[in-house]
Amino acid sequence: MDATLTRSSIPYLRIAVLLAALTLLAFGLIAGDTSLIRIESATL
Amino acid sequence: MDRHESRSSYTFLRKIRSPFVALFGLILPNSFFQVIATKQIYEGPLKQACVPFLNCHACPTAYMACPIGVLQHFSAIRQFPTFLIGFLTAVGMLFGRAACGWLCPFGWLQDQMHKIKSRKFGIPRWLTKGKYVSLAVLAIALPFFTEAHWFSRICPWGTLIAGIPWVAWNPEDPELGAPVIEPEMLGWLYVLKISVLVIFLVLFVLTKRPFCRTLCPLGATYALFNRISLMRLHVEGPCAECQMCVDVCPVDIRISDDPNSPDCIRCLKCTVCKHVSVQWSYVDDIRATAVPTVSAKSRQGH
Repeated sequence: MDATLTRSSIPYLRIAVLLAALTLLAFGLIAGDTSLIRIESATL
Repeated sequence: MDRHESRSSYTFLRKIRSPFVALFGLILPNSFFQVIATKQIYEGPLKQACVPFLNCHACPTAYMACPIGVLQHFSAIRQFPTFLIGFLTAVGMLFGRAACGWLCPFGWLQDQMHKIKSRKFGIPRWLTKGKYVSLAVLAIALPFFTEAHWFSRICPWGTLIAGIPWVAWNPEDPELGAPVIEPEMLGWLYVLKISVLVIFLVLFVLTKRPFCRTLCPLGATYALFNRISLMRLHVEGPCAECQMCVDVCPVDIRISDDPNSPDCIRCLKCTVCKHVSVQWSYVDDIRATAVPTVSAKSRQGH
């Protein structure tokens, strides 16, 4: 029973993680997260 | 697609992998050749996004940012890297570590250097945990507490495509009217960077992908997704134990034991064995299942 439940929940886990990732990505873009990325010269 | 067509498509993929990495991982992301005339790196909108593989954004010709450089930066300014985490998770969930095998130019360099004839050595399994320490300590914790980019300080790929080119070229900064690098800037840190690079260059000849397996924080990040990613390797048994997959594997994995090992870079070299194939699925079991060998099956009376 437990094994069946675990197995059947895997597709939902994958979709949930992927959706969460895409949501974060979109939020990051909207919030201007990428503009915070500092362009720097080589650390010598 | 029938089985024969499927096998020939794997043959095609194996043939194009090396030029694919060279074009999309090395040449295109580092083709800002105007820098030769302007003597200033690209600072346009593309630099605000990152590539899904190691590529130093301080390289004179780089168009985009390095994800590990970005991660260190956000740790240093103590902000959550929303875009970066979403981006890396999406790439990892879709492809696992395929970016390591199909896009990373530093991994490709290691593969090429390992072809040099010499005595070859394996890497102890415990050392492969080092990449997780590198991610947690050098790329996240130390930048958070010290506001310095510790992984970048020793990154051999950064030294090779950014540190050395800048020092060798050393153009005059058009705004300051002085050389970009003054001699006094080349201190102990530069010696350390060069030493790390030289050590790894020697190791590339002796062992398979030592940097990817022991130190790469990006490889560690993608490794977390290998067991649950949509792109998966499938081994249809029984395995004849011919060692073909082990011999060609650039990270020394026995694919029949663990088809979705965290160390697998999805390079598809092991598809040279007719038992190995790629599956795109979200319904497979995430647990590692070893494929029975022919000898094991015969022992069981099959």
